[in-house]
Amino acid sequence: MIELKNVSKSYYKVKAIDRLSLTVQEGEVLGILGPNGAGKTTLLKMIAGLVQPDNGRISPFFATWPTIAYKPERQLFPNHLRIKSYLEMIAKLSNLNRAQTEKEVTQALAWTGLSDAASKKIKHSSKGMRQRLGLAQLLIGRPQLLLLDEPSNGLDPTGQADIVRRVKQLQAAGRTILISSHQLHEMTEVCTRLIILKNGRIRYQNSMQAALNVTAHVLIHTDKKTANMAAFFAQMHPDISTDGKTVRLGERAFPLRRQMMMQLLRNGYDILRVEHKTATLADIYAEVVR
Amino acid sequence: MMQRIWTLTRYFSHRFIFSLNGIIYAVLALAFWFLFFDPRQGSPDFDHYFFILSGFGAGITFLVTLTLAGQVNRSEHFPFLVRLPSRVEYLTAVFLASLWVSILLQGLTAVLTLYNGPDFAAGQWAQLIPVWISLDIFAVTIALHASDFITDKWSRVYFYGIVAVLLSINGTENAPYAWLSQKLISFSRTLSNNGMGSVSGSINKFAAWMNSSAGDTLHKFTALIFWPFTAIANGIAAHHFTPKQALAPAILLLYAIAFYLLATDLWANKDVEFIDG
Repeated sequence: MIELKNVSKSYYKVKAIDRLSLTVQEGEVLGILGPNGAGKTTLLKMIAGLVQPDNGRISPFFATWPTIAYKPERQLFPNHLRIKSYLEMIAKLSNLNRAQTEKEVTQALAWTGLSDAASKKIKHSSKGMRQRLGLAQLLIGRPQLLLLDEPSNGLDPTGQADIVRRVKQLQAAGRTILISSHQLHEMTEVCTRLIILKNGRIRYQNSMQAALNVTAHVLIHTDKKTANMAAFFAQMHPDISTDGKTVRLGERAFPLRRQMMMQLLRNGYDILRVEHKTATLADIYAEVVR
Repeated sequence: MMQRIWTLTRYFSHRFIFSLNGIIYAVLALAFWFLFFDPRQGSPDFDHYFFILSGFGAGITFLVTLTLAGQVNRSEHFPFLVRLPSRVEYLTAVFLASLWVSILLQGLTAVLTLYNGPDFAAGQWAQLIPVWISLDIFAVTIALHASDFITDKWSRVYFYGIVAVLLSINGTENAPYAWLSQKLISFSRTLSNNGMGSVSGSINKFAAWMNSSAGDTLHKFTALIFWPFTAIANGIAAHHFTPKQALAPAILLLYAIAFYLLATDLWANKDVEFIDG
């Protein structure tokens, strides 16, 4: 659906995006993670056509227009407009006729729970309402690609959960979504694929499911230090390691866990606790950006 | 496309007129009317009316365009911009809104001035309208190049630098060319002393041309460029436009088209960095 080939962008001497290649398929929800200054916003702006790449090519493959809706990180609104008028304006810019405008604006208001506030001026709306209005405008005209830059930035936990719920609904409706966020639990819940940027380059990419499974492991906590068993375990399987009183089995060493525990018991160790851990996105993120 | 441009034009104009800026400009127009056309006088002298309001129109158009371009250059408009199939639609709306608001302000002043009864013949109006419109359109296009909205890197400096150079050439006599010619001759002597005879010879020839006919040639060239303005001023002063002078507004529109195309090129290829606020 959209393809970036060797795209680079510099601001003065700072490389915001460095020879980045990426393909996003239709219906995918791509999460973009990375530390501040990694190039997330620049990447979204380039796809939105707001920033021109210095090198490389961005090929959007869209069948119909309107194609893109964009929610900036810090979305500001024309405060003098009413909520409904703002959405009607977006509808007109998406070439909807009067009947379609009425229908889509009503649906968008209902979907975001803003129907009762439709006639309210934006300047009198709360932060949460503005965030929801930012989401409502994404729906108008049914654009094929939605670009969300830190959609839950600055919201309380209820507001964040609300955003996650609505992005999931958009995903279920088959929209292609690119979402940049620092909220890792939110990304874990909504994204089907993940990229982690650092210094303008993709340092990690995987499907969310594979990313979380590949680093699953078992931790066996014992009563004594296990250093003297380290050589034996390494011989058993390279994916077994020791750290203080804990033995760690990587995913590939899972079938050996019973045998290993028997070995520990035979050697006089007491097994205090066994933990089956799947990696969190935070673990992956910390590993990549370290 | 027309629906989108029309929607944005209406939005930008409405926003400007009902903002503090809009009120300030309306007050400015009223103050101008009060100062230059005493409300107690009868119908104004046509030449005075024509000349003063032409200048006022162009000036206020320039300022309105700058202000409006500042208003549209805000990050609240990102969602609007990404919806458009072409960025040029956004620029066209800015152009039309600036022109519309300026004509409204100029029209307000022009109508107020005629409060005590217009005394102009239809033929005089036929002279006046094309000149006003062409000057206003021209002013919008040059003001766009002064705004952050259109400016890309050093483009504003290049644009106004070239205009300043042309204006200064148009306004200077031969003295600077003689001075420059002397400097070039001494530079060519230095080159010649350092064994660069061929380059020195070329520079010498150029210096000689500059001393003899450069001023005249360049002056003719810039006079040709600024001819539409001179023709309009002369036409107003002479109370009628010759057939040749009547072409001046059309030439001015050609300039405006060229500047507008340059603006579309800059705008279509720049990184959009709308400001917060």
